[in-house]
Order: sequence, then C-alpha cells, then structure tokens
Amino acid sequence: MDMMKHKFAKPTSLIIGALAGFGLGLVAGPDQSANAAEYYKGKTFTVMVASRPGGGTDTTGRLVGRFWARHIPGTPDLVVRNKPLQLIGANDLTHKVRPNGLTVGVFAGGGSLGPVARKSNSVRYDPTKWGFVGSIERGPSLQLIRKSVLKNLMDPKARPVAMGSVSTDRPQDAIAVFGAEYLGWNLKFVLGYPNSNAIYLAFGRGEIDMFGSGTTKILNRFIKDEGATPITAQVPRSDFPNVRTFEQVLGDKKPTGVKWAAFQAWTGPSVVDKYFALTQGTPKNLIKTLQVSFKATTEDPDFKKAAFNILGTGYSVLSGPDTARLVASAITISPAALKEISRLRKKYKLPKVSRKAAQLVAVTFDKVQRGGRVLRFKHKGKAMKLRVSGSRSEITFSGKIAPRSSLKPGMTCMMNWKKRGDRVEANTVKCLSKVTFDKVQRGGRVLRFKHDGKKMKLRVSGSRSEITVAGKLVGRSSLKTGMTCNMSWAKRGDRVEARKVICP
Amino acid sequence: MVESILQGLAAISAPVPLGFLVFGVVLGVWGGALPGVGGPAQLAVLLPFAMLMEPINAIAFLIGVTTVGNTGNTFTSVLVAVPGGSGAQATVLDGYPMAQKGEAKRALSAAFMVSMLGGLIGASLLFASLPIMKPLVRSFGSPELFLFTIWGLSMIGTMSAGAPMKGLTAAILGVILSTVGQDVKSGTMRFDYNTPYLWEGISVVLISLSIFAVPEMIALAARKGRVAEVSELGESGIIEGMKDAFRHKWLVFRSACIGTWVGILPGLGSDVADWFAYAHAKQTEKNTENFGKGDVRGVIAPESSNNAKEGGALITTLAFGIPGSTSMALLMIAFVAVGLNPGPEMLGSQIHYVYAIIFALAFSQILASAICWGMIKPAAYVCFFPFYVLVPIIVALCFLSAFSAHFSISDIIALLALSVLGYFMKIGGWPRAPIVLGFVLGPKVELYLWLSIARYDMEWIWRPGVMALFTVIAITLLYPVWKAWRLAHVTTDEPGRG
Repeated sequence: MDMMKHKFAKPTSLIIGALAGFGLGLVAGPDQSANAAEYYKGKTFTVMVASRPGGGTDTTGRLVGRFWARHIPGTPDLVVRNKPLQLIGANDLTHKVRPNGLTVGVFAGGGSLGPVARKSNSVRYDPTKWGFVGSIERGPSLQLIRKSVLKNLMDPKARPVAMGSVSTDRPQDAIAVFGAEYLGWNLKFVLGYPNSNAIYLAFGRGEIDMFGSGTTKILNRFIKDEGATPITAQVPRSDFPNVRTFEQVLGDKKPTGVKWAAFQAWTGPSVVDKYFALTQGTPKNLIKTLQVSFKATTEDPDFKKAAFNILGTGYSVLSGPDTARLVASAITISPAALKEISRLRKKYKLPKVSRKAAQLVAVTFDKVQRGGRVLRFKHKGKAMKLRVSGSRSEITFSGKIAPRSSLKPGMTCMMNWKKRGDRVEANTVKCLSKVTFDKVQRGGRVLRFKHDGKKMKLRVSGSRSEITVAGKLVGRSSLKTGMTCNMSWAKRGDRVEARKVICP
Repeated sequence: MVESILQGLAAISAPVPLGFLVFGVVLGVWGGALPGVGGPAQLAVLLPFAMLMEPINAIAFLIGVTTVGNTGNTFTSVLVAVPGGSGAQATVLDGYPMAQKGEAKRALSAAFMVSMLGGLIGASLLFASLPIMKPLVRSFGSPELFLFTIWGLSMIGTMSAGAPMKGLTAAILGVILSTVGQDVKSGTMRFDYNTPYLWEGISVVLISLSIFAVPEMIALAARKGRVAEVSELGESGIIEGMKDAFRHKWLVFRSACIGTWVGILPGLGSDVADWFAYAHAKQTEKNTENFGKGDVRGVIAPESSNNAKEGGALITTLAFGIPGSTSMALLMIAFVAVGLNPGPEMLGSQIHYVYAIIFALAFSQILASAICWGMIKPAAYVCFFPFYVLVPIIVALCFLSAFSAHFSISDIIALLALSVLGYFMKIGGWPRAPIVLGFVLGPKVELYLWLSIARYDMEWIWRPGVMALFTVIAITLLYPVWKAWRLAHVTTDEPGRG
C-alpha cells in the first residue's frame, strides 16, 4: 500500500503538476541529463535550510536531502547546512549564494514570504526572482487550545489564554488576531519562541495555552497526551473532519471587504509550506534539472516510506512552476489590506509592519565626503547635504547590498531620506548603472550595451519603463545610439526590461 | 522493566552494534580533537549514512559520535589553548597553564578520567530520572531559565581574577557582540552596518579562537619558546592525573550533576555547562588562588560537566522529543528517520531502545577515555615543539576552523580583528573568560527575559522557582564576600599575626 496520500493537493494542482512534470521531462532530455551529469559529478550540492535544526523546515529539508543526491545527474555529494532564521536564509540566498545551481534554499512560506508581503524592513530579497524547484505541503494549520482554559476564551474577566508563536507570520497568528478582533477571544500573545519545539515544550509546562501546527503527528500527540483540543482549522482537513474552519467559526461575524482581504493576505504566504528555491540568475537548464530530480526524489519509494514516518500521511508535493505561481500570489498584497494588518498588529502589540517608505527620487551626487558619510547634491534647485548611516541607510547597486564607501561623486541614484534629530539621513539609496548604448533598435524598444564586460540586450516598455532626458519624462523613441544614461532594469518573464532610464 | 533493561543491554552488546559503537567513538574522538570538525558539523555529515541503518546500529553509531566529542577536544584545549569545541572553553583556563608548567600529561589524564566518570554519572542520572523526568523538566519555565542565565552571568566576578570592573566590561562587550545580526524575535537587523556577513551574527567558534587561541600563539611566538616552560614532562603525570580525579571526587560528582542539570534544561545550551561547573568549583573549593594559573581542579570541574550534560540532554530529547541542543536536534532527526519516536511513545513501547541508548552512552564514555589515555604520551610532546613549528600549524588550524563558521573570507577578517582584541586583552591583563561567557549567555538572557515579561508581565518575579533561584544567586554572590571577610576577621584576630 502506498503510504503517502495526497490529501490536500487540489485536483487542478495535481493536473498542472503532472503536466509541468511531463513538460520538464521533455525539456530535460538525454543530452541535457548528460551535460548536467558532467556538471554535477564530483561537486558538492548544498541544501541550505533556513531554520535551526529540529523544526519543520529542517526536517523537510533533510528528508528530501537524504534521497535527492541519487536523483541528481552525476550524483553530487550532498550536504545540509542550517541558517538560524528564515529571513537570514532568504537574505543569504540572494546576496551570498552564487547562481551555479549548487545551493538550494529550503524555506517556510510564512516565515520567508510573510515579511515580504508586509514589506518588512529586514527583507533584502525578492522571491519572485528566484528559481523554484518544488515544495512539500504538510497540511494546513490547526489551532489547538488547552481544554482546561477553553472557557476562558470567551470570558473577558478570566485569565487570558496565552497564544504562543515563533514570529507573527504564521497563519495561526492571523487566526488568533482575527479571533480576538471579531469573536472577542480573550488572548494574550507570547511571541519570540526560537522554534516550534520550544512552543511544544512551553505548552507542556503550562506557559502557553494555544498554538497552531500543521503536522499530523504533532497534532495527534498533543490531543492524545497533553490535554489539547482543536478549536479551528485554517481550511478543512480530512483527518480532522469535525473541526470547523475559521471562516465557519466566524459565522456572521466574518469581516468583509478590506478586512477579510487583510486576513487572506496574512495567511496567504503559508499557502506555500516548505519550498525549495535557487538564487536569482541560476541558469534555466540547472533549474530544470533540479526540478526533475526533486520530482523524482519525492516519487522514490524510499522517500515515501521515510516521509510517512516523519510527516505522517497528510502531505503533498508541488512542482517548481506551481510553487512559483503560489509564491507570486502569496506576496501580492493591496495597500489597504496592509494598512489594516498594520492596525491590528499595533492594537495587539505585535512587531510593527514597516511603514511605507517615502518615494524614491533620482539625484546625482555633486560631492561625496568622508568615505560616503556625507552626500551633497541638488534637489528641486536646492543644495542638499545628507548623512549616510552605516547601519540604518540601505545602499544597493544593481540590487546587491553595498557599503557607503562605494558611493562616488557623479553617481546617479534613486533615493529617499528622513529627518533624524537635527540631521537629514539617507534611508534607501538605489544606485543606477551608467551605460552607453551601442545600439538602440526598433525605435527605442531594444537597447544594446556593455555592462561589467558583458553584452546586454534590454527591452524598453512603453508603459512600465520610465525615461527621463534632461529632467523631463520622454518617450522611448528619444533614446539614441551613443547616449550615456543611468539605468536600472529587472527581469520580466524571460526578458530583461528597463525600469528607470535617466539621461542627461 | 528488568526485561526491557536486559533487552536493551543485549541489543547494544551484540557484535554489529558494538562495532558501530566503536567506529562512532573513534570518529567522535577524532572530530573532537580537531577544532571546528567535531560536534554538530561532524554529525550533520554522518547523518545520511546513519539514517540508512537498522535502529539499534544507528543508536550505537550516533551515540558513539555525539557523546564523546568533549573527551577528544580536551587535547587542543590543554596543549595549545585552542578550545576544540563549545564544551571545552573553560578547560583552557587551567589546562593550558598546566601544560606550560610541564603538567600536560597530568591535566589530560585527569580530564579523561573525570570525563569518563562524569559521563557515567550523567548516564546513571538519565537512568534514574526516567520516572520523574516529565515533572522535573516541566517545572522550569522561561522565568526560571532567565534566572539560570543570570546565575551564569553572576559568575563573571569569579572569573575576573581580581579585576571585577575589567571582568564586567569584558562581559558587557561579550553581550554586545552577541547582539550583532538579525534579532530572532522581531527580525530586526542589529549592528549589521549593511554587511551581509553580519546578518547571521558572530560565531562562537570565532570568539573562542580569537580570545583564547590566537593571542596565546602570538604570545608563544613573541616568547620564542615552547608551550612547556620546563625541560621535561613528569613520568608520573598520567597516574597523578587519575589520582587527582579520585582526590577531588566530590567536585567531580557536583560538576557532573551541574552538567546533567544544564543538559536537562532545554534552551540553556550545551556551551554553558563547563562554565557553570568551573565557576562553581572556584566559588566552593578552598585555596582557589591558583585557579587560572594551572590548578587541576580547574580542569576537573569543566571536564566532569561537559560529558555529563550529554546524559541530561538525552533526557529531554527522548522523553519529550524536545532537543536541547543542535547535536540533539540532529540526533532526533536520525532517530525519527530510523523509526524511533522520541516523546512519550519512546518511554512506552520503545523503552528498550532508551535503555540501549543509556548503555551505549556508558560504553562510549569508557571507550573514549581509554582511546584518549592511549594518545596522551605522544600528544603531550606537542608541548615541546618549538614555536616556529607549532605556531604556524595552530594558527593555520585556527583560521581553517574560523572559515568553517560560514565558509566566507569574512570569517578570516573577523578572526583577525577579534584576535587583535584578544591579544590586547591578554597583554593588558584583562580577564578573557567573561567576554566568552557574556557572548554565550547574552542571547539567552534576552530571550528568556522577553518571554517572561511577554507571558507574565512582572508577576514572574513572584514565582516560587524564581524566588528560590534569586536566593541561590544571592548566596553565590555573597558567599565569597563573606568568606573573604571571615578570613580577614580571623586573621586579624589571631594573636601573633601581622
């Protein structure tokens, strides 16, 4: 009997996954496999888990890692390394990992995509640029409460029920906050536990009374041995058929419009459970090779047996393209929903959602003094002097973090600033690359130039690319061969598209 | 119960598991002796192989690898002041001065004997506490753990070698260094200066190498001599070291109990057991003026505790499925993968495996100490290597170990920068142990204070456990003051004296 049951995978996802897998199989034909085998042979393939050992992300990463090497052409040596936090792992994948297909990051949707969705200041990555290998879904979250304090939940005069959590990005946090807001749950939030294991122990010793988990084995253990009872589920679970979903629990108190959109946005990132991703710029053939090998790994009978031991029956596997689609939808959040989330977080004393940063404006530095500590430039005809902080100001060149010493006179950067005491301090400094167009084709639709010794070809969109010549917004047809401009660009599908083009 | 015990003993004593146990112990000792190689890093590499084994073979192999690293890492701590692992930092304080005095054999022999005894005491406590471990562990919440970390910080005075203000400053610096990187609770970046390397914080390996090892090697090179400042190693050192262990049997027992207790409490971390035991020895033993200058009791205390803590850490891992350290987390992953279920089930239908683990733990300690004793004689001659041979090798080893922290060139830069700090602390007569203790305990103090206030507001202060621990801390702080006052009082009153 097959021990893995795809309980939570929607039929459409499975069909898409199967088609994608079939497509990938065609793409990664014999020739490509041979090349990949040559590439991976004798190399070390690193599975970088973005959590401490022992948690769900680590367990899932190691589970796949155990069987993965045998399915990667060339059977490389496989090592698993841990990062202490989702954000650190995600930042590292973007800024420290080389795009050579030899390091794959393992992340939890809530911890890594939640901060992106709510525009956290600590995010220095853009997951939409990553290459997705696949994901493992363990089942949606179930909220457990200690039976003995169940009566306290609706009694505002009783001792508040202590809700324990690692961060505030998991769906159980959203359920608790919305439960308090719309059902009047009498809750106290205890946040900051280093991992899920610490939460389980805290529940065992009576420090907290409520937590959420999606792992069947954990849920059964706490219900059977620790006096816990399920109160609600994120979405229906076939293994807990009598547990009502949060939407059902809300009943006629369910909020509508922006308020419900805020709930969906908060829980959205957890739709992607444990996903495997490669850094931006990883060659497509390597992404496809790893997608195919990931799929083969999860279909390996040994993997299925081990997965049954570790995850139980309630898990499913998604392909790379499916994961990419889910990630893209999970981090899209409307400003109104973000504002509502900010309001709720403030009300329940959860860590702040970062404020929306001031709009970026393009400036050219007249002087850069004291190793980048002071910038002088003109803005709206006025001479300005700005301080650059080593710890607070964020400086990037082509999306990569850079020190302030890399700022030089004559550079054009997009930036914003804010007052800090009696000084004005740079907040975000995104520097543009200075390029000279070798060729401008199709009336400014295509630009060809050299950047960092590489030949580049860029598309210019009529609606999305912003072109300024001598301080005035102009159409793309104004771009001519031989012009030198400051620019930024980004990937859009399989093309690279100009974003800002500022020409003197 | 007896049947389960015999079943466990028979299973682990069979030739194949025993063979895996020996193999695991050899790898564990070897990994421990090479800084940066042993511990979780080594376990992570071996895990995929162990996961394919039969449960009893996996138990034998993994317990062998995991629980003896602290025996093997004594070599470098004593001989060249390089802490071989996080559990051997305090051993440097007296182990290396003993090597300088030509007592390397004695220090190593004593360390291996007490490592074995400590490990066996830890295993026995694990065995004895099976029925009561659940209420025991659950009686400690975040407020009590906060007090434990404060107790640890209160030991800074003890380690400040007569310079309390310098010790306090060093400890504060250690705490500040520990806050570098992304805050785990809120995700906020702290002191990162937009440098991706600092997002993950500074590794404890870097701190211990730069504060202890590199400054000692610079000093050795400047002295143009050898580690041992005497012409020959005493022949009776090995026997003398063994006798030391029994001479200070109560210190061994107390330190082993401290180690087991620290291991039991999930969240305190494996790297504080040796510091707790060292400070305890210095606070409670008589005639402590030689501590830090090569007192064998300064080796006995941390070495007894760091092996005993493995038994304690196994208690929570097996009973609750809650790993207390990185190594235990990896061990648990392997156990789950081979079909064991750490948690209540393990104490029920799989109890014979628990007994097998206890016996494997005991066998491993005996075997590791026997292997290490056999290596004392050749290893001790490292102390007679001329500086121009030893210093380049050890410094290269330090840089290699530092590089293994993040596999980044920035690790090397950080080691260089921190080594300058460590060297100036050494030549300026600043106590260096408090900076490491501050670094190790800083994040735990912050975490448990945060959780205590988040859960109980300020009411946590009135919890019975907290008040009891406050009392213990007060006694710990005041006892040396009272002892000094009493000594001065008695000395002054004694007729015929100064």
